[in-house]
Amino acid sequence: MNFHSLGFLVFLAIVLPLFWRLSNSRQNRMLLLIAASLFFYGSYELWYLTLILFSTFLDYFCGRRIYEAQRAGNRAASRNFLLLSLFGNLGVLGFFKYTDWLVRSLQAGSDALGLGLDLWGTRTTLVPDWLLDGGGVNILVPVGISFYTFQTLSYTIDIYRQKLAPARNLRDFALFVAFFPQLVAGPIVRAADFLPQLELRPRFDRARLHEGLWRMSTGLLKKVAIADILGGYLVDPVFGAPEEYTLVVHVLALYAFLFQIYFDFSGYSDIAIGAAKLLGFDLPENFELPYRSRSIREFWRRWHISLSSWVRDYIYFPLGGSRGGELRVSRNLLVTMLVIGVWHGASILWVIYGLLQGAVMIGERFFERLRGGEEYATNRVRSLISWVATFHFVVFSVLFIRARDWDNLTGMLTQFGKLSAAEIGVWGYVALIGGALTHFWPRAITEAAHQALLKMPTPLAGLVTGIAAGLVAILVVGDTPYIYFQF
Amino acid sequence: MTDDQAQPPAIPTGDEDALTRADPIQTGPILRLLGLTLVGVLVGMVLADRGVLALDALQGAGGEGSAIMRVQGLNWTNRPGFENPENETRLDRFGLRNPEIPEDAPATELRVAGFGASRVYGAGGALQPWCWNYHLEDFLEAAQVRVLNGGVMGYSGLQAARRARLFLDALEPDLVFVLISPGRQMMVDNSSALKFIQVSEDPEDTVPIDVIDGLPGFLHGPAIALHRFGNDHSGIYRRMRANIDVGEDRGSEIAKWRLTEDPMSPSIAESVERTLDEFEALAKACKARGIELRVLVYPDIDQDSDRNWQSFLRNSQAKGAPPIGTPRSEPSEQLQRLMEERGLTVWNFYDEVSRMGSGRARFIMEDNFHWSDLGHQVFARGIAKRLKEEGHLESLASRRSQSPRSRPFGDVPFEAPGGKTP
Repeated sequence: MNFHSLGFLVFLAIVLPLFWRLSNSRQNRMLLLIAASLFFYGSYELWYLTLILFSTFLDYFCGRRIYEAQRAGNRAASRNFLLLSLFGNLGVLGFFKYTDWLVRSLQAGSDALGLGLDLWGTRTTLVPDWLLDGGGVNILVPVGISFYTFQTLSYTIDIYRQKLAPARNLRDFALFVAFFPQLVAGPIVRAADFLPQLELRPRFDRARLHEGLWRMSTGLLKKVAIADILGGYLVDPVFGAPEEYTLVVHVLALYAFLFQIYFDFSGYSDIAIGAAKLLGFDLPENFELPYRSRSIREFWRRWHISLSSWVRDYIYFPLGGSRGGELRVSRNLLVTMLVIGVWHGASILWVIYGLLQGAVMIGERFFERLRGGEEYATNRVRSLISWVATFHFVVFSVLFIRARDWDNLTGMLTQFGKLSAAEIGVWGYVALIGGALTHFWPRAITEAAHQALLKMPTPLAGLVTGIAAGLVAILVVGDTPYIYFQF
Repeated sequence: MTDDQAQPPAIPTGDEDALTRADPIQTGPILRLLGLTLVGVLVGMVLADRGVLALDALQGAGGEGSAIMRVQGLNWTNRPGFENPENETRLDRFGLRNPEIPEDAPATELRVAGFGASRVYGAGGALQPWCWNYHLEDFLEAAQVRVLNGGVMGYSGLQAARRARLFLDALEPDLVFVLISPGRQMMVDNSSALKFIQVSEDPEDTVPIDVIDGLPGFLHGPAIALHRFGNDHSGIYRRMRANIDVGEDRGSEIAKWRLTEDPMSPSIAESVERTLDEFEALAKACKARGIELRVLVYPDIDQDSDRNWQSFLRNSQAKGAPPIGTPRSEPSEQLQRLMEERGLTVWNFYDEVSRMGSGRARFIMEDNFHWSDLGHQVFARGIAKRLKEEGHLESLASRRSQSPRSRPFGDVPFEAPGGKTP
């Protein structure tokens, strides 16, 4: 059930009034949300439910045991249950996401060494067909598994670190794991942010309602009116057959993908945050106009914030963070960004993507040290230079995200044809310019529209949302899942 | 990780509903606000819908101004007598893209009728005189052949074959061909478009079966009423139905499917089988009327050069393309094989298209798919060549002279104009 579908609108129109009708009983409203969330997730594939239920039971159990062991002063048991949680969660994630990559790499190594092993054949024999994707070749990656795995890991780790108490009961924990607005593509919510909200009296007022409508409307339009059009008119055709298009079109397609992935993913996050608001919950922000960044370090503070802050807190800081010598910090940065890369997917392109980000961050630190710790962008011209350099590094690096494989990537860089920019449909340009404008225009313009919706009478706010939903229904063509579903 | 804090935080306990019991949530105002919002959302959606209707009316879509109209059995077809001066289109009384067959047409004139989808129709902005049928008449000028263009935009192979069968008695052609490509055109799922279910005692009272498919019986009435209401009053619903009818709502795994020797999934195999059944039914109908039939196997767009084919295979693996290494000619050869197994005679245009090679841009329109004037000429030349080589011009003329038509043409084989929307 995609957010930009009639089915989701109907689903929400049923769940919302029911939730608030039951709002005076915590048990009832929680059970309703759990049932709705499992229905939502099961609508993708029913068997996915077994995975999320496994994670839920495992981490609820481990969380309790870690807590009890700590209270009993048994540090070894506490550590063992944490390891059980880590192995259980990462084991499932690793099986679905990395098995094929690992087997293929080992097979290639075996072939190169002439060992004559048929590892891929063994993998094919062992994995049943129903676990394979539509092409019948690769193991299917269940939607959202990377997101809720990191989410549940943060729960057991935080309990182990004694920063968090376990959930009051399995019911509350199940809702934390499966909460439908952010289940399949984030934002990645920490238990420390979510569970305390369950202890509060549910919050709802006119301002929250209008804010929710604003976030959902803008999120829908970002996805359907910009991201999908960019994909259909520019990105997919050019990446599909780079050898047919000129260099200029290749560059345009890269810019287009830059905005496509932002509007697609931030659109999803907006809808998730908006839907949660209507249910009385606050989810963390995931984006902060990332392409305005003047350094890669700033970019990662503005892009997929819930993931970058997760790896900062659970990987970068435990490794030592920015403490210690430059070599150590550089290693920490590289490892952290490598994890971010590989979290997205199992391929050499993601490895390079992560390492590239880390390398540039190290370079930025080095440059700053050369200047005695003084910031470079101290005036408008330097700010502009920093922005241009950062922006175009990001443009270059998204090539590693969009290219299907190494051949496709080199095709985009080296193979050019005769189809010129004139071959691109006008709506592709409209979406590209529109996307860039809405990202870079003064915040006051967006804020004025935002405030106008907050202040208008509720039926009128509903009407504006309805018009946005109608536009989405008109524009949506075929099955265009969110890009981040594949991660 | 650190575990330097002495005391872990406490698990929340106590009365779960203490807060709401002390200060209950007033659900009435909340539900009222939500209700007002819902009303606003619905009104907003209706306004957007009205906008679509107005836009569609402006563009002439769906109404009398559209080239397409809905008919039962085919789902949609060309509107008889449709005119569009922009690309010099003037459809005849049957919705064929050719000049009207005159009332005084010679009873023994030779008629060749071609059916298929948008390429046969001449879409992509091609002017009517550019279309293959005009060129073919020129190439066969000496034989005085009337060539009829039965292409319809968006058609699957199944629809094209069925439409050809419907026209046999009205047009009494001497030779019919139906163009089909060995890719998604065979796969467009017409189960919703072409399967109708009677919903009352009136045999004309039908709806597409997918409207009620899978719903419990007590919901059939409301679903049918909603469908009809949407069809009659909603621009958005009509657009959604149009997407369903042409298969746009189908899974992405068949987006780049091409027929090969590899095994097909059950759903794909079923769809291909139904397409082949329809061609077989057409063949029987032609045979009963003494009409020659050819299945014109035309390569898919990616098969036109080795470079394009390799690029297509490489980039479309995730969308259901055949395995890398599949020979470029295999889809066409496999389709030819399947048709011949059903006793059908095939004209395979693989070589014609292959020869276009790197100069392909000259043969297609800017949409990178439909034929340009030159492309139509190549197509017409291929047909003319086969007609001559196979001796059809003489044999068919001789056969026709022995059994002249009793009338210049018959009735339009479906409700017209307008058609009933199921």
